[in-house]
Amino acid sequence: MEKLLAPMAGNIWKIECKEGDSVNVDDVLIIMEAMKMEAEVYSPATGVIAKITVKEGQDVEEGQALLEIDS
Amino acid sequence: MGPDLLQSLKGVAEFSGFASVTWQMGVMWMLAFLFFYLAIAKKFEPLLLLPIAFGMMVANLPHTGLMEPGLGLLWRFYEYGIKSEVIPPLIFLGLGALTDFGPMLSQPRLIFLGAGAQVGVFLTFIGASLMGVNLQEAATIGIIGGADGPTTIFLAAKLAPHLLGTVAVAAYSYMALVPLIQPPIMRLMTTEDERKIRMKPGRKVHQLEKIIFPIAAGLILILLVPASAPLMAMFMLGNLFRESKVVERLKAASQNELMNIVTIFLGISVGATMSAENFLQPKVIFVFFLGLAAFSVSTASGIIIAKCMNLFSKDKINPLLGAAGVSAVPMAARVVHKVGAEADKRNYLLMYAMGPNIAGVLGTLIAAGVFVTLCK
Amino acid sequence: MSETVNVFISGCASVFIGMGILYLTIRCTAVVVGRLTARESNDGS
Repeated sequence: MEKLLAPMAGNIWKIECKEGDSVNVDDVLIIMEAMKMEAEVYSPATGVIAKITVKEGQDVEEGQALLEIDS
Repeated sequence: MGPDLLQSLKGVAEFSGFASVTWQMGVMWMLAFLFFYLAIAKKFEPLLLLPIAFGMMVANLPHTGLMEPGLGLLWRFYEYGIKSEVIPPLIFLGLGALTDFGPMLSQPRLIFLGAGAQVGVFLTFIGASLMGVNLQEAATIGIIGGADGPTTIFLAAKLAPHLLGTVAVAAYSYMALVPLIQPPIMRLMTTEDERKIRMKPGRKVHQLEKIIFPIAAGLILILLVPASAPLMAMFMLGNLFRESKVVERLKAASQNELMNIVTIFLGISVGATMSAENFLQPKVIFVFFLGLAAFSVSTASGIIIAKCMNLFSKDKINPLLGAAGVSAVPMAARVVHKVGAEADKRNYLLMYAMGPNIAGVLGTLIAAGVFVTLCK
Repeated sequence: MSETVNVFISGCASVFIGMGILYLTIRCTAVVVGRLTARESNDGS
């Protein structure tokens, strides 16, 4: 089980994956927005998305868990 | 009947402006049209460029009396808005209400990077005075390197009003061009490994600290450089509106309605100062050239300070953050993030760069205060 | 020329002194606020 943590404080702009999707390392899973700039968040592992713990439009802190991957 | 008609037509030709148009005015109109194009088609700082271009166009029409001292409409906007130091401080009130000092408070050591970028301002000042302009003009040109529009206008109105339109346009153009000007300097001055340095997460900032900061910083910085008071005081007041969370209406008014209103008068007054006789001079090319130099040197000096701090500190600072010390908020921080991500796509520098970025605003205010005091 | 150098030195000095004092202020505020809030949460428990 690998957790993806928010790399910076900001807003969840788009979630580019669903629970149950299989993903590869470095796939773009989530696009965050801060200071009117988009930042892509990449998958830390290859595996299946087990659980997404944030919603689009939500504000997150740095280090907050975004989703979990079964690898 | 016949001669009377001719007489009247002749009268029209005399009072209308057509006969008095000069080629210099034509050049200024062309420049205004170019600005219209950039603002409308290219969305290049339209909030400022559009009113500036219109002010410029009408100020360069004959017989309008718009800039006639004591009488003209645009003269009054300029005199009571900019010359008597009303509009730039009001813009700072709005900026204060929009600014979150959180990233800066979370990593306090990064504020020295905001100071580092001001070295570029003072170096350009020396460079400009070596090239033969007077102290006041040199200070006005140097402050362009701070990349802070309202501060540049504030200082120009005080020290070198004839350069105001030029330095304002130079400052705002270079701010819009930050994503083109900064990256080559940043790549040149850092190694791949340095750009990959990841920052240690900052500490959590309590809301009480955010409330205390504008009060404490206002007191200390105004005591240190009293001449910075008009801008600094309004900046900190706006921020106190924001962080105290008890005056939402005042906060909203400062950052929205008031800010928008004064932006209109700022733009049109700046444009109105750009008459042909002020603008069509060899000095203008000189200002644009030195402004660009100021900007580049400020970027470089921020990076150098970051590298110096790394000599002494255990937790290394990514030297790219030094480039965010020029106070183009938040453009410079975004550029830092992008250049950092080029080297390592998992390196998220954006919020770390906001600290030096905002500290850069404070640094530029201090620098402007020193110039006002010593170059008067 | 000496006037220019004078402005340069006092300018850089003011900016760095200003930031230095700010740095200390932020650090001290953080410590004081940290103590205050720690006491509050102790009182509460």
